[in-house]
Amino acid sequence: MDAAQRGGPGELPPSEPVRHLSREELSELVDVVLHVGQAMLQAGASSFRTEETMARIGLGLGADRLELYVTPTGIIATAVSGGEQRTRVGRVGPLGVNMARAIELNRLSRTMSLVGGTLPAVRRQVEVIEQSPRELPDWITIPAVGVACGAFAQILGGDAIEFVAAAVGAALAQWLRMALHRARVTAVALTVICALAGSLAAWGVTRLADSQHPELAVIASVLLLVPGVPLVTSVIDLSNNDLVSGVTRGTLALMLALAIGVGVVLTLWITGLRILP
Amino acid sequence: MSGVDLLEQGVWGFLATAGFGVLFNVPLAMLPVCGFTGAMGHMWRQALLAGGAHPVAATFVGALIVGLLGYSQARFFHVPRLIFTVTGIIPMVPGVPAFETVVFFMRDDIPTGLESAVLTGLLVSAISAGLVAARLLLTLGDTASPHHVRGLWQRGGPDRK
Repeated sequence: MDAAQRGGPGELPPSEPVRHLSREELSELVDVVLHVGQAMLQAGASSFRTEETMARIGLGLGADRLELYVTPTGIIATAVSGGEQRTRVGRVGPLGVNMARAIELNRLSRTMSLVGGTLPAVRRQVEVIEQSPRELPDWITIPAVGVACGAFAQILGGDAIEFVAAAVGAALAQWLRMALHRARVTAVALTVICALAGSLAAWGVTRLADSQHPELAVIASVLLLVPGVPLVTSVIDLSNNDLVSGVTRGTLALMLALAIGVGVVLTLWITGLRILP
Repeated sequence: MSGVDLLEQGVWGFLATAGFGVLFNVPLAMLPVCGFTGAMGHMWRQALLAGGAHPVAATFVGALIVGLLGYSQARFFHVPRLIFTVTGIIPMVPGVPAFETVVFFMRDDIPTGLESAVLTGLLVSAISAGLVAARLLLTLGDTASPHHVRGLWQRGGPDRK
């Protein structure tokens, strides 16, 4: 395949003579690109978005060509400059959700594809993005999640009692999730524990207030654990023809959904199946 | 369903969606937009359900609305549409059938449990199908270059339009 066929350099020759990167520079470039890719995936970005972000940063740093293979569990990245090339393989840590971080990294890559950048500057910018705090502090996030799950109880047809019960259960589950996350508990175990604690608490409140539909509160109190991001990203990956990524994320979503089921089963078992639909 | 009921449902949809926006660390300025998306999808779904539509069809339309709104808002605000679609589908999560599946299985009523499990699967598929349908409707025009090799990015390549 020649250059024109790829729709590549044949169309738009660089206006200035390109300086080839040294072996050491290229090595550091791949390191930064790989790091950004890992950060994007761990913030919940889809494989294509991750690949695009990595490529723009790599090209902005002066590589001639990047060959990338991105999956939610590992990344293979090769950067080429002149006659040199470097390849790295990186494993990806546990997948989480942090929309603001993914947006900022993507924005950085767009700026870089326009104006370029230098290695130390990019390293520092990535560091700043990674260390920036959440949009809202924990003490607002926890009640916000509670209100969201309470609203879901209302959507399902609940009343004021179910709203309160679901909100209390969900807030407890969210607090527990943050604590367990800091203690580095794995995702499946964390989901089981939080589903159990949240639904038990919600059930307890409905018992205190003599609710007509305790099951609605129990369902809504575990909503915060629903793996919505892996599910939707899985669909995006599949429709981008990233089959490995799509199936991987779909399986992750299914595992987390089953983990919620296990937690709720434990609650039902403890409460003696008195929660009837 | 009266207009007031529908509006009330819209408010709950807004709260549920915006709350999940906080959980997913969506940029602060986008939270009301997320809430609006979720409320619209949910209100369409509720209106169709009240009109006698099948839950799967109503969920499909709701997700389609979320997808269409998410796409246009993403263009307008220059952010990935994922932040609107992921939060917008939250009010449509099939919580009740999923819960029924668990309860019926525990009661050893496997056939009824399977029925709920299939309905849960169908509702989740309807959400996915609605989002994909919105994406296809809006991106029919811009197909990727047939010469663009996936995973290969080069200087002055297709990325530089």
